[in-house]
Amino acid sequence: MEIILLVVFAFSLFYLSMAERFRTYTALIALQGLLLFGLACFRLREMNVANLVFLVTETLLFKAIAVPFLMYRILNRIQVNRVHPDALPGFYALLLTMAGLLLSIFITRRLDGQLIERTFMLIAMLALFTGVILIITHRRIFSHLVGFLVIENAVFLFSLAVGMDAPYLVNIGVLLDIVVSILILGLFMGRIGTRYSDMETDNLADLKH
Amino acid sequence: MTLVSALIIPGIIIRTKSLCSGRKGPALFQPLFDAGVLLRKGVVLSPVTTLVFRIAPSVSLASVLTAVLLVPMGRQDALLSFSADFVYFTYILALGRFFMILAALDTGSSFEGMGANREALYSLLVEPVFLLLLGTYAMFTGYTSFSEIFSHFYFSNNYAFIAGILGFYLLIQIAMVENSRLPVDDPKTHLELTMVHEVMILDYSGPDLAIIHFSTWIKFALYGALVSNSLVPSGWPVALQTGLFLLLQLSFGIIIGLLESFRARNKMTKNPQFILTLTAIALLVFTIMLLSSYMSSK
Amino acid sequence: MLLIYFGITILLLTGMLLFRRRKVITILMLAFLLNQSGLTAIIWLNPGIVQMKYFVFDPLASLFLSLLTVISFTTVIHGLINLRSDSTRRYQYYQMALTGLIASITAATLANHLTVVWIFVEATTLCVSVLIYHEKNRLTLEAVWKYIFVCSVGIAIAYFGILFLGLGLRENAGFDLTFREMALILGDTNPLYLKIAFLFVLVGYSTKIELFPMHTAGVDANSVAQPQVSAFISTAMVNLGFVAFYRVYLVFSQTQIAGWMNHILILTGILSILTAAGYMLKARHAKRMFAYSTLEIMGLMAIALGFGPSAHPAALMILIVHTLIKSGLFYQLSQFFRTWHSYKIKETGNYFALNPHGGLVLMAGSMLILAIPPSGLFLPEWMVFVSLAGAGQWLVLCTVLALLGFIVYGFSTRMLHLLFSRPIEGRLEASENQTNWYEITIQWVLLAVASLLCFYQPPFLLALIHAAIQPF
Repeated sequence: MEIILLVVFAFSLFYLSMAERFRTYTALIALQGLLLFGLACFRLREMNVANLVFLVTETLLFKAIAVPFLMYRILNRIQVNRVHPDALPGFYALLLTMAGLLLSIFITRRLDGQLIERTFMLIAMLALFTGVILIITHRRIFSHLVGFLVIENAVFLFSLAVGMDAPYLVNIGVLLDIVVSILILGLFMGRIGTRYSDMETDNLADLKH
Repeated sequence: MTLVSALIIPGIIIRTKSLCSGRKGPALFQPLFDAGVLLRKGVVLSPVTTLVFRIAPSVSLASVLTAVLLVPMGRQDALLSFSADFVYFTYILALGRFFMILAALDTGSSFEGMGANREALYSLLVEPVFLLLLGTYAMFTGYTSFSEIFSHFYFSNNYAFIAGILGFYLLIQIAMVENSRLPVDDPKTHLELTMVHEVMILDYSGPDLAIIHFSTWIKFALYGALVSNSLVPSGWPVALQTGLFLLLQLSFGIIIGLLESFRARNKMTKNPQFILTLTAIALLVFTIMLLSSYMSSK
Repeated sequence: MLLIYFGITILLLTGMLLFRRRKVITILMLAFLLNQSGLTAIIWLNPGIVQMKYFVFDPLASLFLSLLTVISFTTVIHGLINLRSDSTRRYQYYQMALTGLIASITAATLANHLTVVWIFVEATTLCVSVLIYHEKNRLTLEAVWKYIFVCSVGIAIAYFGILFLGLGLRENAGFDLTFREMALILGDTNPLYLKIAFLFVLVGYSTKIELFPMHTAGVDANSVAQPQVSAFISTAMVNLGFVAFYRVYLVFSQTQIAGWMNHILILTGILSILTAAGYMLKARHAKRMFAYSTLEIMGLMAIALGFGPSAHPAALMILIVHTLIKSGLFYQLSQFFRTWHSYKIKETGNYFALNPHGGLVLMAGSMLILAIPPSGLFLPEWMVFVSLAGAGQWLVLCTVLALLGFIVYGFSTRMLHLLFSRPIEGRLEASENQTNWYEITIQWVLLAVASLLCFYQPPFLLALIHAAIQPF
């Protein structure tokens, strides 16, 4: 069952690397949140109830609902809806992501462990590469933000692979998620949204040399 | 079997599309009647064309017919099978397409050149998908011939099941792309800037055009056969398999018709990206199969 | 005892939050500094004990905590002078953030457990961002955004590395990420896990250490923060990043990937120096110039680390001396700013004529930071170069020397312009400034100690350094 969720997650990563509209990004992040919720439910079945409830609530509430909601609000406030016209076209971004998949396969080949965990690791590494590619090849801050959220999802996914043996690692990953999401999304997008209304990182280039 | 279904599939597709858009649509065998009309007409040739233009339709039909020989039906072996024959399959079809492209360039018309350019690009992009998919199946079953792959293809574990479903979806998409259907290319549009396959055959008339239509239908049925093959279980008696095969071909036609009715044509610049997505999915299928092979090897 | 420290810190923070009067906050801050020095003294007196299960008073921690205490004192004193004109609310946030920052750095330095270190390093990101966003304008907003973003990505990547390590350790019975435990059981782990974990941890913490590839965070933060905050970031935070990274390095240095790690470190060092050289030749902002110099020195430190255990004392020495010199330079820059109200090199200059005492400090500091003897940096850098030559690494040596040449050129020309020549695009008016003797004295003391360390290294310091570099 987990493998289906992981495959859909990998699809969402591919789609994310080639999508061009910010609303699509938001919808995909929400989808990823839901998938992670499902994966957390499946994977951490044997944990004690309180911890499990905390984790799945956080995943569902934060990743699937609160963060996309905040992103929609930001999109409604600023008038920007697409990636920058000079950003890398979707074709090449998708090629890079496929290269990332090959690299992940290569790296996880020599790891040992159960198969399901290695699948988790593979998809987590793919998500890490996709997030990094998003950050590097795009120019608007919103895309950078989405790339960072994807990296966070990668970390969470990876911590699920380790999850059962060290529950506190998953908790700390969740902590990272909450803190940084609140910080970046809540405070800053609010302020940056009001000051820089067209969200080009070119505008954030005053700090030079 | 494949040839039989070839005769009826285009009619089904057109009928389905018409019904979906609210019209009654032409009769099921109308395309055959149209082809008959074409066969009785004479050929009009442009003075700039050369031999390539004259032989291209025949080469195309010949290549498709050869390809038909390779595809098995259900558990029966194909009429022709040898190891790694799916590569041969790909390239014999490519040969037919190559000649069509040459013929399109041969006419000296810029529209046809444009269409030939796009056609070449799309088939270039979709080729790795097909090879990757069949290669994955070959890796999974351990055999390299169509007949053997399909007779040994069964879903042994979770991973293979998912890979099978994805492969099925991919085959349908490959069929849509290779046969120049929506969303890559609209067979009904004759706007110059947006034609891909239609523009290549713009200059043909009479029996040549009829031959080209035949080869298109057979190609369609070919892919339908591949799709059906991945669904027909190999343990059933022959008659039942044949019946199921026909049924699947018919429903393939209906599904294509439905898919086409509810989809819009892609923007031209988005097409390469769309087809690359298919490669990404094929890579994913490969990954899943790779992982499942680790599992069975542990 | 550590619990008492934390308890007092929380009390003082609450006090700062509730009382909005300037004098009260200042007194609370000074009380915190006393608290901090008390803790340092206790650590010196009780080496090696474990506190609260996750913290341990080991030599590495005592070395860097002493440095931290010294820098905290000097930063607070300079801050009191610089923040005279700020509103009470801003002052309150500033002091609270600074207190939180010092406490987090202390906790992270003392921590014994990989995840606890990580948590506190993340806490420092939050505190620093409040400190940077002190004046609320476009530039600071941009700097804070970049800082938080890059640091968050770095933290996430570092956590990825920690997870990899956790996964690699899972097969062993005790699943404990304490450094001491890890050192014992890492021997037979799959080296691929270790390599990936090390790489991710290095990349993640490079935001703090100001190494390539994620040095941009520190550089941007330094350019908009107040000078004393920049001093703190460039010294204490860099030391924190080093400690966090070094502990992981020590744990891994007993495994089979030690050689590979050293190669990666040398590569990182060279890349950092290369980046610093590139930036330095284009530098137009005084504080950014100093930040690039930090980048260069950290690159040298990484090369020293990558050279093997024999060169680790040199690396630690570089860090110690750099702390002293860089903070002195940045503190003097605050006086520079009060004179010229700008940091742009082209718009300012002639500082020596306007403020001879300050100019002298800047000149001495620049000579020391460029490792010109009698700088304390000279000896460790010399040791690094001699070791490189001795090991036959001629290509590395020549590359590093050439790049350092560029850096020295870039830095010197700009510094000399700042001190002696008239402004190029002169539109600013220099204001007359009284020399503040407290500031100058502190800066001279820092520079003097840094230069003293070239000639005489006190035995207790050497012993401490040697104890600090011992693997577990």
